[in-house]
Amino acid sequence: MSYASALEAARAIKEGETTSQKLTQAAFDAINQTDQDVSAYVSLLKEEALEQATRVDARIKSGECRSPLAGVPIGIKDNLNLKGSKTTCSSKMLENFVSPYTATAVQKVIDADLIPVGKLNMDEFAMGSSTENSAFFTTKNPWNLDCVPGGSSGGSAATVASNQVLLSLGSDTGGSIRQPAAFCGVVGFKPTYGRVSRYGLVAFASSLDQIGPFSRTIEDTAHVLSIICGHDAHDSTSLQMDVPDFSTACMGDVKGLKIAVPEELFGEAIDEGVRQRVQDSLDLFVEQGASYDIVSMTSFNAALASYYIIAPAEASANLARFDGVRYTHRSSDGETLKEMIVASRGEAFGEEVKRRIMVGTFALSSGYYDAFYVKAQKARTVMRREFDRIFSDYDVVLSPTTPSVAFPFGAKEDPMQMYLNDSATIPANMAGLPAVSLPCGFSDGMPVGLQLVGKPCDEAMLIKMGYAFQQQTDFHKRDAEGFSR
Amino acid sequence: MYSYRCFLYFNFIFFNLYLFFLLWIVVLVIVVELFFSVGYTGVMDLSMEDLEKTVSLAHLTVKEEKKEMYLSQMQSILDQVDTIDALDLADVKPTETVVEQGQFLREDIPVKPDDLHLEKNAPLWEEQAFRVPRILKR
Repeated sequence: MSYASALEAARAIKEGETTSQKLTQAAFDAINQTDQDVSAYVSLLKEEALEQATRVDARIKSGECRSPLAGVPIGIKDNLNLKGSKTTCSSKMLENFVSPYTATAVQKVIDADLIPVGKLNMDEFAMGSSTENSAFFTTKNPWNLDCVPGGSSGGSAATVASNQVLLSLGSDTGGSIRQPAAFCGVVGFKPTYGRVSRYGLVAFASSLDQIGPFSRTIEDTAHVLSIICGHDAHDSTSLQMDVPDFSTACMGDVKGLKIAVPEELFGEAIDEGVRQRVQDSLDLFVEQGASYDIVSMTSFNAALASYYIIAPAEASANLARFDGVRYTHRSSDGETLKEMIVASRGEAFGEEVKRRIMVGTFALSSGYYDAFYVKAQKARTVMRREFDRIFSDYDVVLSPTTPSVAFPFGAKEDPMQMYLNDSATIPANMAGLPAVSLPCGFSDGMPVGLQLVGKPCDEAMLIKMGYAFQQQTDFHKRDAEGFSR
Repeated sequence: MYSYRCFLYFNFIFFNLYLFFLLWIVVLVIVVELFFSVGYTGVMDLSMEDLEKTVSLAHLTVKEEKKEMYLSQMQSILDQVDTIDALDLADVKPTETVVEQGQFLREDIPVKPDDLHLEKNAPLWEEQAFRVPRILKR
């Protein structure tokens, strides 16, 4: 992609400088050239994408297209259904599963004349922080091919960071958009829970899952959010409220805004290089007229523990449907129905998925339900109350997105060490709040992410602050070596 | 007269013993009830039996050589509950969903089974139905 942003590419199409078909072909050329190194895509939709691009070009020519991003290619995480294409969740369980319908969020980007070019690699069933849990292959970080891209939406982050496409969609249950965005140096946005319909997203933990975009600029993200947000009768948790034009938040300054920095997310557990870049960002906001205080949010200390009870518990129920009867994979072992179900699940689920199903099953089992599941839900309430208290005095909560930069493959084989990656991102999921990761500099040559968490449904505040930040910095414009525009 | 008085004393003592016994039964029932309603409340050591029971409940299989690994990893994850115990959870209601508007149900929309194309993803599809192995062993 030779454009700095999706908005710029769409403008070039509208002004006749290029066409959607040329841009889509350029995306496939870039994927052809670089995906042997990055391995972001599980499957490509070349024929369908080029046909759709031709249709969009005709619509643009006739003046029918009103979408500000019309004609721009977009990558889709492989847990979002697109009718007629494979949706594997990077699992052997769904290796041959063909979507019978399209997810609402994906349908909305198609209706807005964006062009889905392929399905992106991820940790199996979105369970992981490195994309090492994909059953097919590992996606690499464009900034250092020996390092992980983060996860679970590792493919979605890597395809934008390597300039294969300018936009992608991912999902975030405990940080799965923001953490890979931080590791790959791109913008990753998790909207308020309920803002984007989950219809057609293969469920991991239903009370936490949320779909969101990846891009190079916060302006692009604002436009994608305006497209994918909104009420949907197919999702009973979808918010019944109007969606503002988020792009109008891309203006103004941060003068007078009050920032809270939780000491629990800014202490010794954070690598010095990461802490320094986040401190630099804070200083920049202060220079622009904002102020900040270090605050205490003690419930964050229990965020990891409560998340790793609630999410596996919900996952154990959601993944019970994969039984060898309805979803493509069936074991040839097993004389009876039950033996076949057990054999199918035993051979098709990977190690991390099994681990989480087991933790969830145990936490929900008789005698342990109150001690684990209900206790974790109570901790969730305390976390929400603490956010309410902080937001009565502050506009936004700021922290590093991750405690460290991207790490080498195989560096975190102990699950607890891997889970610590999510310590800063989980609280926003537990409280259902909007949150964004912005590229805020580099440490040891690898990107660092700055996280902003906002009040419920106050995505506009995060966009406003992100826009002000990107006006003063150029981290989002830098390309990884070998992947320049 | 004497025997009548003895009879009264005996009855009095017997009645008190009976009350005492009844009281202990009630206390015992309450303790058992409390134990089973509250369940496990502290950090525990998982046993291999717990792991195998969980694997069975989850309809999974794990390789014999991986069992120790899973046991120790599950133990580490569950041990983290200590950090939740540090919070004051008295009078705190559990959060089941963060959506405060309340969930809604849409109107039912009738669809034909054919529209779902279930056969496309079924491992085995015969006569408009999923074919599965027999439920009981021969």
